[in-house]
Amino acid sequence: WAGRCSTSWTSACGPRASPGRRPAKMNGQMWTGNELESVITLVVSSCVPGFCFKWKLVAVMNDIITTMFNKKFMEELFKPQELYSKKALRTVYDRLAHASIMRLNQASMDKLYDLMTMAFKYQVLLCPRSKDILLVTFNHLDAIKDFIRDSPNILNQVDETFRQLIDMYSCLSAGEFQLIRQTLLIFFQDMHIRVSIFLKDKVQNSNGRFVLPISGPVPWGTEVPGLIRMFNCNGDEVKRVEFTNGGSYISPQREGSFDLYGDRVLKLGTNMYSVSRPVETHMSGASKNLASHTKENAAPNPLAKEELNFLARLMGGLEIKKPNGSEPGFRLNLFTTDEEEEYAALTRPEELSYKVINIQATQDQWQNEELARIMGEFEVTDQPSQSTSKGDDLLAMMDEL
Amino acid sequence: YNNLSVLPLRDKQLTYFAAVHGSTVSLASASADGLSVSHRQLQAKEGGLAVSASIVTQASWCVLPSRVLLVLTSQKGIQMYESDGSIMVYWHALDVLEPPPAQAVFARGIAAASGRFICVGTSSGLVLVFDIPSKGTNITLSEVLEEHRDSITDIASEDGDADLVTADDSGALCVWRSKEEFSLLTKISAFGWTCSSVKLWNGVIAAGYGNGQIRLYEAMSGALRATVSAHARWIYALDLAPLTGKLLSGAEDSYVQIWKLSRSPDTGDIEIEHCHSECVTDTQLCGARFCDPEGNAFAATGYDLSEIVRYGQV
Repeated sequence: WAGRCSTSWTSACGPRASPGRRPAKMNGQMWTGNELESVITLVVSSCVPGFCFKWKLVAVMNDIITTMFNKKFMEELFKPQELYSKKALRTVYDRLAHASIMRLNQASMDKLYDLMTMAFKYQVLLCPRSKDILLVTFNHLDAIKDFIRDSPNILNQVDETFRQLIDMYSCLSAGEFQLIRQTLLIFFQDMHIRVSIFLKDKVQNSNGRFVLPISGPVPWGTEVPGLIRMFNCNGDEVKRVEFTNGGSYISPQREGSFDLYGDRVLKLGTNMYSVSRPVETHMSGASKNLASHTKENAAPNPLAKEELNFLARLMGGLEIKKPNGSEPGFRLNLFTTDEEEEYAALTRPEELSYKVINIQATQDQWQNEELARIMGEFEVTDQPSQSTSKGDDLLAMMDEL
Repeated sequence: YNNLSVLPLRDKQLTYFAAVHGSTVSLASASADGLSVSHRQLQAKEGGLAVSASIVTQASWCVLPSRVLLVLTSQKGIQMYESDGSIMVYWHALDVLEPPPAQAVFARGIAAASGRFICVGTSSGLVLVFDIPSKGTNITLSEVLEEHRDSITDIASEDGDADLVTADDSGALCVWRSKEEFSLLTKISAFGWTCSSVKLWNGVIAAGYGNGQIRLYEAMSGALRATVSAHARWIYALDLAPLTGKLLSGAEDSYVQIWKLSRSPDTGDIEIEHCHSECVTDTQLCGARFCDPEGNAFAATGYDLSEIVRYGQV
């Protein structure tokens, strides 16, 4: 990133809590939860270049990756489950981004999330074969392994996850992968935030929609369009006709590798920032799609409580690091000035605000001691008016935000 | 697959469109000159309970001699509405096991058959056959066809010796005949790619696959009669204009291709020729249908597209 990194010698400022809203849900049935992991790895993939303080970078990188590939966290992700709601995903993302001494303000956090969302949407959308979404994940993991190649412990964790992915997904059929892909695409539907690196590379139009190429190699297993073959009732070929389908396609060279190591062939999912470039995202002008999309069901959903409980269990495995007085904190600003960052936070269109869940808890709510301890340590600077709920219902707690 | 359905109403000079978008179905009706007349939105909800809406997989009009019903399939079950979407006449819930299994559960694949049934497929491979009375809500599940082992993707039917074709995720096709009950005529094995869309015309099965290929089979015997490398990406929709034998295919490569099927009366040879290409720029097509039984106009929908694009022959 070319955004400014300022080292702040004061203690970290936690993420500004966004005012809670009545929770709205969009539940989708899902094959498994592993795509969440892929989604989050992108933050690391896009982390690399542009940082001025390499030593801090290494520390930040190690912390985030260690947290992300935490055994318990991965176990939870690998369980077959429904797709998370947008709010839940954003919350987990926030926690992961703050798993090191790095801090981001609300505006930079939003921008980072937008960037991650659109990049991942792009990768899923442009997969030539449905099975290629697995290759994209492998590209992410390959890049991550490269960042931590000098730390054997973390490397082991990542390799372990790699093996689990291979075990679980290699045998799925094309139709099953397509269902996963369709479910992911429904999640990302109607998001058209313009990303400058995509606009520059001409992979995204000025209206926010991605460019779909009609030339190049066809996916592995597909024939180049243009041939009709007709057979008689005995199965002998009796006629061959060629036609022009409109695009200009060529045969593919080879198939990507689905092993632990190998040439993936596919470029989707590799480091977008291997050449240092500016990071900018633009909200497209309030589109009609968004307006109708955000009119979500406002009635309290009994399943929401389940999801929040689940999220709480997940959080138990994620440590929040708070830089103490002696260790300098590290604040990342994705805008060119502090003023710009503040302005962006104030002017963000309403319908594009992410409603982050702030899980407040009293000691006796949680069976998970670890979580309770972490919660206790979590610095809550912005909400002195929050009173801890006495009720058992998580949902009721959210209502009080 | 094929998230668009079209119902031409000749007598009213109107065309109804239904497009699936996540958990809602948008209904719109338009007159021949393209002016939109009305809109409506439907959601897959159980009865009237405030349960979270599930993803709708398909919406399709089923034309029977006595009535037309709009059928919605979703992760929760199957709903049937009057053709304008005003009243729900039937609801069938899919069995959901506790605890939820690792497999996704949904209904997909809709077709009217033999003038009195509506057949709907499920993610477990079962095909549910519903008996539809000429009016009223007394719809019953009369039969369950168990032959497929993978999720049903599409179902097609026509009046003839072979009435019904069902397709699944693995690419296998089953051909059925219905008298009082449905009996299996023949099974066409998969060749490694999902069959996402299937159509039946004049004893010919047209099937679209995930590798962009269209295949034509003889319905009675299951013999392969033609292969077409039609698209560079996954085919999402096939549609037929029954009066002319025109076939259209829409795929993720952003192309709609128009074909003409024909059958030689003396040799019985099945032929297919390419008529036209249309590129919907930067759009992965999710649905495509002819707007009339002759195939003079068609409409298409795409991922992230909030419009239905209509094309007409000049």
